[in-house]
Amino acid sequence: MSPAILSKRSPWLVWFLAALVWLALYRSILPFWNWVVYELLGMQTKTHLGEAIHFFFYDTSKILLLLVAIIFVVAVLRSFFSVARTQALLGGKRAGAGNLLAAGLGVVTPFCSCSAVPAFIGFVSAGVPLGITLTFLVASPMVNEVALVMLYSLFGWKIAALYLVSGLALAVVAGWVLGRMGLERYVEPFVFETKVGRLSTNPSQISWEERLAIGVEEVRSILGKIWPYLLLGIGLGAAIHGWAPADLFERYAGAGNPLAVPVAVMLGIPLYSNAAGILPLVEVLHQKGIPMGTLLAFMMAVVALSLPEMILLRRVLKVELIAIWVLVVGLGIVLTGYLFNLVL
Amino acid sequence: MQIENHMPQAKDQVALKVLGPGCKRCALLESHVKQALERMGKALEVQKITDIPEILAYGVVQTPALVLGEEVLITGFVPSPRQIQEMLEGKI
Repeated sequence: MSPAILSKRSPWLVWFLAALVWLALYRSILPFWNWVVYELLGMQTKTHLGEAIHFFFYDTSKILLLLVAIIFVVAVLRSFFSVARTQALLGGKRAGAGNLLAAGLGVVTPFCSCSAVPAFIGFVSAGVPLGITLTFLVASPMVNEVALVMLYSLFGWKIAALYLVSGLALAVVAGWVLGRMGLERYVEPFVFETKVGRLSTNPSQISWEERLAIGVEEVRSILGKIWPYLLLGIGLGAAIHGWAPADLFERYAGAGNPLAVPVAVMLGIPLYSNAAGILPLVEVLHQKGIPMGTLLAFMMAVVALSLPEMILLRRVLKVELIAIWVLVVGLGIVLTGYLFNLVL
Repeated sequence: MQIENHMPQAKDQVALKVLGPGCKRCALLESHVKQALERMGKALEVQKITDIPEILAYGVVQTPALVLGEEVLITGFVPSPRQIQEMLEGKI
């Protein structure tokens, strides 16, 4: 039976088999690369070259497998949410509880930065307070599934959970603070005048087949976009892992340098690589002695404060508001970095 | 609340419009729609709406979206050409 016929008859069987294949692959990559690198290629363990090559292949395959699974699952879950529904849920909410809800919805609502402008106007016209809208816009890129997967696979679930919780908390607090500052005058006036039609959601219920197709499409589009960064990041990581002197980074950005966190955040803002390219580097920099808080702060600045999104939002927000936003979120990230350096 | 039931006047009831400010996914939706039309053997023009107030007038806050006449068929995701064909079947 060809796969096409099979998928027509029983889509669930196909997905179940795919999950099994994934699991089998995931469990066999470590023995597989051990065998290829150390036996087939005859590399020595505990040598720079052997370790670097093993690191590159094992990490690449592990991260790719995890990304495929998580991007797929997240995209399917997100297909149950929509910006229109989120907007309706947040309309007229008060600060505080509204910010909490907005942060949660920011994570699960399918949202690409190209929708940021229409979504922003939609939120304002639905009576969502500015601070709550900003919480949504901060949480959405900040808590990023690619970053979450990579943190989990490189550092374990504790660091991943810490990133998730602190990302949400930061979005809530930053949005709340920005809301208290009364910045409505820095929203472009046309936003309040734009007429929004009766909200359209997808009229016919989306079928499971469509949801799964959305998942596949999302995996394809995200991986298609990030793979060069991923390979570059892991390649650089492998090189540093193998050869960089142990104390090189620690000397400049180790726990002894109090300026390391703000400098890391400032470096991260203009860098709009993505989590995929940054995290393999973060892993080796951590091994070379840079504290986790500094590195997490760097990564948060890279994913949450992106120049392209700011430029898009400039159409609806005045420069003053964007500057205050970057300042408040950036400051929050710096504080989070210091906090982690203290507790970790 | 500023939500109003005000819709732009339709000149052509069966005009297909792809709504989106011009991102990658909008281009992808447009190409899927064209593939669907090709399969159906229909030579229908696909208009692109990139003006944000105009997109919002359709009640669309999540792009890309597909509009047939004044009816919003899809918002916020890109179905496959085959799925778009199924949606359009019997409507054009």
